[in-house]
Amino acid sequence: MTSALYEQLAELLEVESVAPGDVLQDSPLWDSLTMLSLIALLDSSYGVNVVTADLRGVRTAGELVALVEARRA
Amino acid sequence: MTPSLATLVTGASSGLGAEVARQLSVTRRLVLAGRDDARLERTRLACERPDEHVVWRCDLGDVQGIEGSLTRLLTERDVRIDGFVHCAGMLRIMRMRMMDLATATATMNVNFLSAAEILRLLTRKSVNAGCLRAVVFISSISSQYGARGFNMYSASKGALDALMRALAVELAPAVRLNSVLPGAVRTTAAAADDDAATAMFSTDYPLGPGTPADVASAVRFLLSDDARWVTGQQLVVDGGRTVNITA
Repeated sequence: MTSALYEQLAELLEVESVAPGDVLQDSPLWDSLTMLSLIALLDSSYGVNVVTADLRGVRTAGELVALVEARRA
Repeated sequence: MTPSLATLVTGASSGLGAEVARQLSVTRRLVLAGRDDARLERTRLACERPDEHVVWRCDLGDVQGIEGSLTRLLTERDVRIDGFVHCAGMLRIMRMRMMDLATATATMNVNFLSAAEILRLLTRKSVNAGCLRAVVFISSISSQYGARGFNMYSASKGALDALMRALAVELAPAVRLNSVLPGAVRTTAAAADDDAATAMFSTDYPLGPGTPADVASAVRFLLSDDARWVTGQQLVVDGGRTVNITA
């Protein structure tokens, strides 16, 4: 799941690749619609329920992946 | 023996559908349709005369499975449907370039095609004996206006309203069809704590936030004999949001 999620993040943020240390808010595409698209993606791809408040507590891509993995368990 | 008549409410386990069911149950027997047994049971118990109502557990995303499931239910419970309210719907707000075909298809199936399929069945004499009288679709203001990330949801609600209008003409005079177009309605307790949403309601909605009861009242009117001469209409229930062009 982890590498697939990084690929999906790269697609979402329209970059070549996303590294665990990348700060999500630094992306020029990081806005409310991107957050909502991410929430929808996490639900349909991984069956994980995340809300915008959860995303505000996450800084890097690695932290997001950890959150998703924790929710999936 | 004449079968008893009931009003079918899809999406009965959700915020809007549960309130629609509760209000209609005052004067009607209901068939409560949804996916979640526990939540359907909660809706049933919140209705007037809970033991009168029939629960139909179904996944409207599986459009092909609707025929077998619904016809079996109507036969086994000896019920015919005289009213139909389609409250089932799914919303995935996302950028068009991220919209995968599975999500797009599911959205069109649950929001639109399932309603079409149910109407196909309810208008067949062999299934429903010509009992259908009134239909209300829960559409959305996004059927008529654009919003970022609403792409397939808007399309599905637009399709619903166009079908409503075509069938209002085709199925007259026996059946009336209308749509209710709600604005954003807070259906969960969690949503009430959302500061961003609260701010949006106070700036964009002249009448402030709306409740499921506000929408259910409109459904009740359109389904009733008070709306005897109303068909093919879209009733917007949005606190004035869509007429507000204040910058």
